[in-house]
Amino acid sequence: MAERDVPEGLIPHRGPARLVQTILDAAGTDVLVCGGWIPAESAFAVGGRAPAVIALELAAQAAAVQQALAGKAGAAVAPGYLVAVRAAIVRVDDVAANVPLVATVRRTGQAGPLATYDVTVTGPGGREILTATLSTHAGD
Amino acid sequence: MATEIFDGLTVVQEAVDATGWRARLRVETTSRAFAGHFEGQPILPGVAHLVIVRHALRAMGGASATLRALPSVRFREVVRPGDVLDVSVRPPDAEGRSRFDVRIGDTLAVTGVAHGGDDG
Repeated sequence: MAERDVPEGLIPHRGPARLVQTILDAAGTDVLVCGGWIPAESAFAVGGRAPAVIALELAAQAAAVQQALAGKAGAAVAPGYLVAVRAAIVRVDDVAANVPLVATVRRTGQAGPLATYDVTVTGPGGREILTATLSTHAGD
Repeated sequence: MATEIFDGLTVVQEAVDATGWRARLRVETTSRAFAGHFEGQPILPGVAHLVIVRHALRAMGGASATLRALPSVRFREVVRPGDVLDVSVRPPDAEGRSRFDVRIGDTLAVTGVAHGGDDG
């Protein structure tokens, strides 16, 4: 599958809150690989770097993209919520802003609006930044 | 000038002692953390709480301390512009686990367990 931009209206994140940028691969209905970065103008970036744990937000947004792609076309875009993080391992302290990151999310469970994902975020050269299990709520 | 943990998160009070790190933090309405998250319905991204925990681990463990793992975190209540947060991060137990919680008044907003470690 060719790389393509995440459509503007697919998720509600905008401006410096929008970390996910592209869909790199959609390998099956439950797996999605997205590209993105932490913008230098993010509230969490100082001196061009941000805490690595912010990469969890990129993974959460990739999960929101997966939910949107798997949902009904034309459905209203509602803010979703990160409701839990489990078994997160953070490999580095911080990451450079505006540097390409890759988030791979695999949906492992779904019950109504609640979904669970195993996620990995890597940086340049495939260096692992973090892994975790996220639970999200699709919102109202 | 008031100390900020990130843009628009002002430290009102902060203390570190044998019982851990405790702080009262004000989420300024002007924080860039709300920009685009979400338009007309601003809420603080959940990961913001984890940045606070990273800051607390560093305050307790020194400049080289950092956040290495999060065995469990539950986000129970959203944080909105102007909220005041009372945060408590306990010192690591024998297994290196620091329990933390974030409250908005009497409401428990976030609970979790973190592991710290040295950066590098």
